[in-house]
Amino acid sequence: MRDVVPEELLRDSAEDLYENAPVAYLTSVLDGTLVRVNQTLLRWTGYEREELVGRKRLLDLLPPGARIYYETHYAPLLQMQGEVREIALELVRADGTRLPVLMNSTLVADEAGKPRAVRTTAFDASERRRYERELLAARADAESRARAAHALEHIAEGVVLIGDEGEIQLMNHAAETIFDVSAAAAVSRQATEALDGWEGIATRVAIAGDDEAQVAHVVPVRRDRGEAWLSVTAAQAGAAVVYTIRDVTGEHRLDQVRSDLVAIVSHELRTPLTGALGAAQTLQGRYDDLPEPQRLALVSMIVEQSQRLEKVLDQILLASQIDENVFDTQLQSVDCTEVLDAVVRGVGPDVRTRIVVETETGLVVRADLDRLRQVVANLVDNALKYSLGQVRLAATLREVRVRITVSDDGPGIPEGDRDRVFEKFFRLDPAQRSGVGGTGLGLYIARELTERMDGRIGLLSRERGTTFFVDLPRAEAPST
Amino acid sequence: MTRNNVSVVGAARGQPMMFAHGFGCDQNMWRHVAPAFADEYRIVLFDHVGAGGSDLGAYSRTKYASLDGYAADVLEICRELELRDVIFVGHSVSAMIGVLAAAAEPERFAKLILVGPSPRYIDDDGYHGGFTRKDIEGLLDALDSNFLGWSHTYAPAIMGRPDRPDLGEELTNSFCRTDPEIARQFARVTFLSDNRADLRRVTTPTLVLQCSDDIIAPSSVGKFVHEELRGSELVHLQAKGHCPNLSAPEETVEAIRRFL
Repeated sequence: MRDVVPEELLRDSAEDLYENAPVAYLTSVLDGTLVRVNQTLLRWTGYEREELVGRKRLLDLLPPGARIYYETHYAPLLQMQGEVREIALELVRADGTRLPVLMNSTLVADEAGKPRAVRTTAFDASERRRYERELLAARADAESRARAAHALEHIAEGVVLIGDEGEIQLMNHAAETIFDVSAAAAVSRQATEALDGWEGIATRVAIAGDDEAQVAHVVPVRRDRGEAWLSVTAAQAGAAVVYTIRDVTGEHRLDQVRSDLVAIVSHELRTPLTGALGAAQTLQGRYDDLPEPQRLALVSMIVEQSQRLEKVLDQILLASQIDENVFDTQLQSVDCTEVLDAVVRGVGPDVRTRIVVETETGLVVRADLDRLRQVVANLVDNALKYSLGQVRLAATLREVRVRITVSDDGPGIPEGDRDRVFEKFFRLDPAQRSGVGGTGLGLYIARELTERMDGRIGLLSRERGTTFFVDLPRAEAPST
Repeated sequence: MTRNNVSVVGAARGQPMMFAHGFGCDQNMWRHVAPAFADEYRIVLFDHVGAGGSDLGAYSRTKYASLDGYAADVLEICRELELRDVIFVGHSVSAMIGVLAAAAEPERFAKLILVGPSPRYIDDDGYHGGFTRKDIEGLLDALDSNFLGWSHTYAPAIMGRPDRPDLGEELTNSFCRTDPEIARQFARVTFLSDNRADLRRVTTPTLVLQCSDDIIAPSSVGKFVHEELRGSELVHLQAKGHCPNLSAPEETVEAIRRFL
């Protein structure tokens, strides 16, 4: 061994090992005053020995914030435990610059165990501190990205990021739903190819530049079941474009319905009014010229048209009351035959012949007489409007319920519209090509009234024509 | 009671004497001071939530967003133990916590002993708290940097050290366990707080112990506290630094005894 280890190293004095150690040594007494420091400390801080020993406290070598830390956390811990390890602080050099260090301290006691001094070592931690800072920054960055990604996945709007070659770079969960394709399957593919209807979006939606306001465009896209409407904005984001997409199909439909309503209602109100007014004016102008039968015919016209007008207004009012929930139903035992007869009587004499009533007698339901009459009347009105031949009314017993049906042999209701016929303002033939007209409220009202009587209303599948049914709870016969 | 790891020792029928610890530590910091009074008084020791053996799960940022949350805990302990005529000894931040508690329920407290108190640490117009906002941020940075270091230091490794016979065998758990995140919040709340107005609300007889050379609670602050607290006594200790209960326990005990 002696041959291998160089002589001079073995002779390194403890003094030398202390003074020139690769760490800084500081010894202080209990009030903090420095009593001994090694050469390394002086070298690292740029102080002269005389400036520190007996003059400054360990505290004085720390920056203000760290001094508080020292007094409130470091020192008490040292007193309690006798040692403190690996605390990261900074030493302030004589020139004011800072040196990041890791400090360890031990409390030195005398033979009686009473604390006398504090021995501290400080390791230069500049590189380590830099590394730590970068690590912490990277972690903070990663956390904020994770949070952003998380938020993106949960927002209601679809977000699609398109690269400069038209490829999909990113799609969030809402976008997956809108386009019915998974992000995994779509990313990297061309948007026009992977997303149904993207062509329309790409051409119609202008891309806003950095400071420009984003303008939303409503774009129709084809879907399996009809059309969907999307409100889209696009903004340049570096080399890519961010599209924000909101499905506004519902709102769009509602908007259309509302504008339809204005058209429908004005037409439905105006037509009878025009008819009545025309007849009245004719009478007014040519009363003496017109023969008796014609005069009577005109008066009938005024009455009929006014009644029609009244009916339309009643429907609109009723629908409104239903919406606002401000009307009541009085449930009692009602004889079905009575209801059906009343409906037939309410229909115009010229069409009355088309109606055939096939009912079992003695069927009693729990319902509001007036409202039930209205429901059946609405169904019959529709049947008369949309068909040319017979309209059959029937009431049958089905266990604890009674089923009233209204059937016709008309064109029937297309498969795609069967779900929608009870919707407010929904009309099978909005363009009124067949000249049928109507407010589109009849079936909506019928459904609402039925359901409020604890009944069910719907369509039966038949090969031809249309059959509506209304099921109501059976009741005891009226005591009268 | 488990929330604050409360321990009651000493004379069962004695007047209650409650000790509240400061930062970065727990009730163990009173171990050289509290026993001196155990013969005469009923000693109540506890840990603030987040320190020592307290229930860390009970910590809530909203509750402890101001020192009032901590004061509420103190009052709750008094209520649970049915303490009356309490002598409250609070170190550092706990001094102000005691002030807030006594201002809220003055009938509970007979005397207040404040060791190194400060109602506001940041300088203000005409007020020398001792620190700037930047200094406080430096403190919070230091706490942040020592997140890991702290956990390491607190690893249960200090057991029967032969070179420190004074530590003794009774200390089998790590000292001063403090959850680093809570410690940071506690320091933040404390050092950014301003409770100067609360001093005037207190009518309890108070002793203010001012250390020499205490950078955390300098003598100008001690003087301010003494002047704001009507009828208080101000005693200057020879002990240097901020923790006389640790660095000079005999002097501390003596000063308290003389006051009581």
